[in-house]
Amino acid sequence: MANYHIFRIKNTFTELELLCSEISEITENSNFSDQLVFALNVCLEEMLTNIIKYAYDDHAMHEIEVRLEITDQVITLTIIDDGHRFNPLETAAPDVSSDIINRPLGGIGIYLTCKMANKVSYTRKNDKNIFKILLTPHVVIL
Amino acid sequence: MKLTQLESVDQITHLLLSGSMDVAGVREIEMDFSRLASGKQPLVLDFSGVTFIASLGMRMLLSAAKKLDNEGHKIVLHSVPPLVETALHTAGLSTVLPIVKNEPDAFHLLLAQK
Repeated sequence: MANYHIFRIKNTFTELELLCSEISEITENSNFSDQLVFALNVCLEEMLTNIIKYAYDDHAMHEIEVRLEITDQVITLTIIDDGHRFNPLETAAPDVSSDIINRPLGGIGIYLTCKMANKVSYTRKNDKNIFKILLTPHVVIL
Repeated sequence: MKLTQLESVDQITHLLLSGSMDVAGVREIEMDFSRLASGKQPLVLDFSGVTFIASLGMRMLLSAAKKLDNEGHKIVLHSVPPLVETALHTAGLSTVLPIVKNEPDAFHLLLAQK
């Protein structure tokens, strides 16, 4: 049996903090491994921060939908926003070489998400970005 | 998130960080951290109580590392929990944010570079 949780937040960091705290309550009452919870939190924070900061071309309030589907130890996280078209999978991988001190840390959030997820997919439908992330106990890098 | 200044030894700033270095956690400590990690002295960070880090927290650390580098000083992290260490390695930060096992190793590394 799968458990579904659907959250709708506004595009502000205050709402993101509240969402993370609500999701923490779910994960704390689960039997997820520490690795899985860590990976979920990275994906949530990175993708939503990215949307709040860069997805919108105006200063209006927008709604972001976050869906969690939990089946045993597998989590499917779906994030839907009505920002401009942005496929995170098309962004260039950052150069994680030694000279990081002399360059900006751009792209690291998406890179971390893709590294920690088992599978990620992007679709654009009805003028919305739909980013889906699959996380299993065998989180790729952890 | 909590930031505690520990006793400074040999003109090395020693800070203890604890809690989740997420959006809320970084917001709670970033001003104090920026003031204490001003770059004027080498910096040792005790990460034993840090339960989570993502790119926002990494940016804060990297900013401190840049200030220190400009002043000719170094930063060292010690007692880093495995998941946090893995995230830092994956982001390619372990070269500018050296990680050692414990507090004596951190001070030894910085004093050897003085």
